[in-house]
Amino acid sequence: MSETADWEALGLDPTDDAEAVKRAYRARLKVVGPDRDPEGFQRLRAAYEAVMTGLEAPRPPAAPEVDPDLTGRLLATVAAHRAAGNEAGAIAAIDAAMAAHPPGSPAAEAIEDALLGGIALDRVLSPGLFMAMVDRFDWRDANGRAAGTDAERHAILLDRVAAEEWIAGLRASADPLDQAMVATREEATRLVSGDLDAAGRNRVRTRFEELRQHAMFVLHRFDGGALARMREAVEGPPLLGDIQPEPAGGRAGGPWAVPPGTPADTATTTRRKIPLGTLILIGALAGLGAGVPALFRDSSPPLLDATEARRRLEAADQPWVLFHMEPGGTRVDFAPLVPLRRAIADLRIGVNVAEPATLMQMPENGAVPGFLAPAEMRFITMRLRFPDGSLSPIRRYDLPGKKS
Amino acid sequence: MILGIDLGTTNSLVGVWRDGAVALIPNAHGEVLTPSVVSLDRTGEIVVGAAARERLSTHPDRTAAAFKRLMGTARKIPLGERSFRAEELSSFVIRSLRDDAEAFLGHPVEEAVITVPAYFSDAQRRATRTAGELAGLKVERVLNEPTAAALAYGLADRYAHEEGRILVFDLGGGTFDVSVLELNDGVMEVRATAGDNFLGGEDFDDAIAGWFPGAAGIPAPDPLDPGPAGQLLAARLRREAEAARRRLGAAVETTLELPLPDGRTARATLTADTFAKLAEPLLERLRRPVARALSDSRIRPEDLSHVVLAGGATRMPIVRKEAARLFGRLPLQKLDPDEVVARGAAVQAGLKMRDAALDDLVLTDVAPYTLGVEVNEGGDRSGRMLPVIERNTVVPVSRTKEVRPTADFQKRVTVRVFQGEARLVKDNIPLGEFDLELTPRRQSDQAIEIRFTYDVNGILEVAAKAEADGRQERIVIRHGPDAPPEEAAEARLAKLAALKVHPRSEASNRLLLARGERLFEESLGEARDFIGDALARFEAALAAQDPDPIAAAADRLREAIRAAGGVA
Repeated sequence: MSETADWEALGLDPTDDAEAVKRAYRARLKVVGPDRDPEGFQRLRAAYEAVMTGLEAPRPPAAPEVDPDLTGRLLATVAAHRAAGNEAGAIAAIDAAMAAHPPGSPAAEAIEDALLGGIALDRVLSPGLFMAMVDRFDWRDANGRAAGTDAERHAILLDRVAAEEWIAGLRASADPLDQAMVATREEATRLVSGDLDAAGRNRVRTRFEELRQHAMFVLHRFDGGALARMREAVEGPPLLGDIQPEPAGGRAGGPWAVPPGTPADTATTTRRKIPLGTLILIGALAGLGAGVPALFRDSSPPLLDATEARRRLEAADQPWVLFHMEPGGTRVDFAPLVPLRRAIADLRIGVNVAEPATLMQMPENGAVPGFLAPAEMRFITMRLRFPDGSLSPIRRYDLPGKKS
Repeated sequence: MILGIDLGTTNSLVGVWRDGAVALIPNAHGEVLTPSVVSLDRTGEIVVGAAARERLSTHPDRTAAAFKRLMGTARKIPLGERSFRAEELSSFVIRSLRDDAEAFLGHPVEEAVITVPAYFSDAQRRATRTAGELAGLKVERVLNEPTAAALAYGLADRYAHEEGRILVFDLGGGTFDVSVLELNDGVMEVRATAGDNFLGGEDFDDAIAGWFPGAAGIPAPDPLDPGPAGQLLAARLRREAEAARRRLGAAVETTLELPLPDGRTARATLTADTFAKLAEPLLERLRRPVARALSDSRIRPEDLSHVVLAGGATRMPIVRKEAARLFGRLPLQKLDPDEVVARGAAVQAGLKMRDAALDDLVLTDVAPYTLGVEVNEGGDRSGRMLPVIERNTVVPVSRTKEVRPTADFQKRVTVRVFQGEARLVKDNIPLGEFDLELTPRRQSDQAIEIRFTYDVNGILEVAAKAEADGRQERIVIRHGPDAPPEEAAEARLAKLAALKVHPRSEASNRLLLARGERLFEESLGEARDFIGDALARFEAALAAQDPDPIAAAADRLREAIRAAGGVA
């Protein structure tokens, strides 16, 4: 409807007096009420809403009316409880602060905003405290205040809610496969003995895919050993997806020593693998579990701008990867790429293959990715795609002591 | 004449707009509250109201209460050898109210306004409408309960020349609703509504019933066990819990007594403090809908001119205290909270009849839920909800959204319709779905217009149209996912009409009989024998259908009931 038609529907000459518009609307309602004339009412209402959007002053933000100390003190108290590992104390402090203010009051909204902006998206926030806030402030509501205040933050928050609910669902599940996912390696081995049937394998694959989706928030709560056991239950003893068949002589004695053509071999090849990318990503993030502080943005090395980063990446003396000897084996560490990631659109890696094919996302939060090299791994190949779409040459790095 | 019916979880009422005022209609016992309880007696007749309520503790396997909570679901509630859906049980209650109204008015009635919790879903609203139709009434309007409460108050206020913003805090037997309204120049505008469909007085009773076994040192009775220590005991405990909750309204403590099948009596004393602790998690849940309604209405709590209490559960001192604490002021309770919704329903009935006294009153209401369709936004994060009508949009309303197929040259799209506030459709309530056939085109040339039309009764129609060639599909969402199979309405009506409901004229005798049976079950020794004897005589007299002996036997039974400490 045109603007003129809106004013006509209201029976009013254009004005910027909101009260006059409201009075005109109410007077017209007596003629075209929602019961009497549904069509006419809808036209009137649309006109009223269109005119009022231009006139009504936006609701003043809660902040100026509220003592800034109120939220400051609360955040400090909550921070102190968190530092002391006292989840219940932090929840009680928030409850007490909210109990003092009527729902919908500026103070109550200021408290909500402060917590939403201050700590809700902190990835190391304990699940109990996070979910208590989600319940208390109705943050599951996708059409509510929090979503309206800061849609982007709220979307991330809902991602974590989904992750928390997913892991809580696994813990509450009666299915031994679900229980094994969240168990220790020993328990997982007890719960899942031997091979799985096709349905079981599919369920575990689905769980791994879900884990990939929720990894950012919950991965560090999983036991790597249990996940390894689950993967074995699906794929058989560990072998890397990218390993190329070797000359017959080299195959004896390994877990892949079944002669081709036998039924057992057919069974092995029909087993769909959990994508290597999923495993590497999970492995890479799992490596972070030990060093949680690495999750903080400000603890990562400074980012170089794209031009400088590109120059470094193309320099022959700039390594793309480091190998560390650790008690458990060789750790593959992509730390050299982290400060250069503005010049990296994506990274493909290959293990023991000349052509790197497995896509690896660069974590956006500046965390340092890496994984523990499997025993069979001899070398890694890498290729970068730059933001302009061009590809780097392939680089190959041999693991120390495993030159082929 | 149009009836205004408040179909409650615990009690139901009926009223009319007559001679420029609301008249609430008494039932056969002279009371305006008719318990929403239905029982099937030995002869296969339906008993409704107070008599059925007595039978809750004597015949729990043949009696149903609080079935409003199952409205819109496919659950069958067993009553002895038969079973009924919640809307069928509700239709018996409505039939009984209609009979009372016809006796009161002296002429037949065929139309009604029925109230529902504002937060009732589409399926629940439809079930309510069906209940009215099964009782032989044309349902003119399905009205939101807090809106009805506000109408009752708004009218009173209008005569007192008050205008302003009101918040209705409606805690009934089974549901909690909050509505924020603005009243100006005879226009009552609902600004926002929020609620909790599973929070009400019944939950406080459950909390007490759950606490008692531990406090009295007895094993908790299992309502699924048909033995005397199971279902029967559980039903009695619930009755005692409800009585104790009412007693605590006036006292600081009360003792619950539960006679056990082995002759002992389990006892425990409930103090107001203990009750407050038991109720704390329930009271905590009152806050969220209040916050949501205020935030959606963009009205600050200090700008409210009144907070109005409605619903029987707001009689509880702890609920009133919590309401006062939430708003930092004393709420208004000028009208009886049990009656206020029915009064509003009667006002709406008057509006429908275009009564002259109400001529310049206009009401606008809102859609309580967000309604939308499922969309996939690429990647593995599928199944998002795309809102088409946002919650608290003024109704009736018609809105459109443009969507596209996910791939080029798609032959059809499935339109899935949902209601709710979650981001992913899996967490919302599915309302229905349909396919739209397409002429395959590139995604960019294949715009599809989705149109939602939502009427004043909360009934939704969805249409999808391919812009390129004008192909169109539409559905009226008639049934929720759990709705009954499309059984012919008339067949259902005939089936239910064949069931005999106790005639109104016999209501007082039925109540007396049911009360006698309950006291017989609950008493011991001589008193029990005395009641048993009087009951037998009364039943014999009823069977003989001779008025004088019936009256004499009734007197004797009343005496026996009083002697056993009951109310006759």
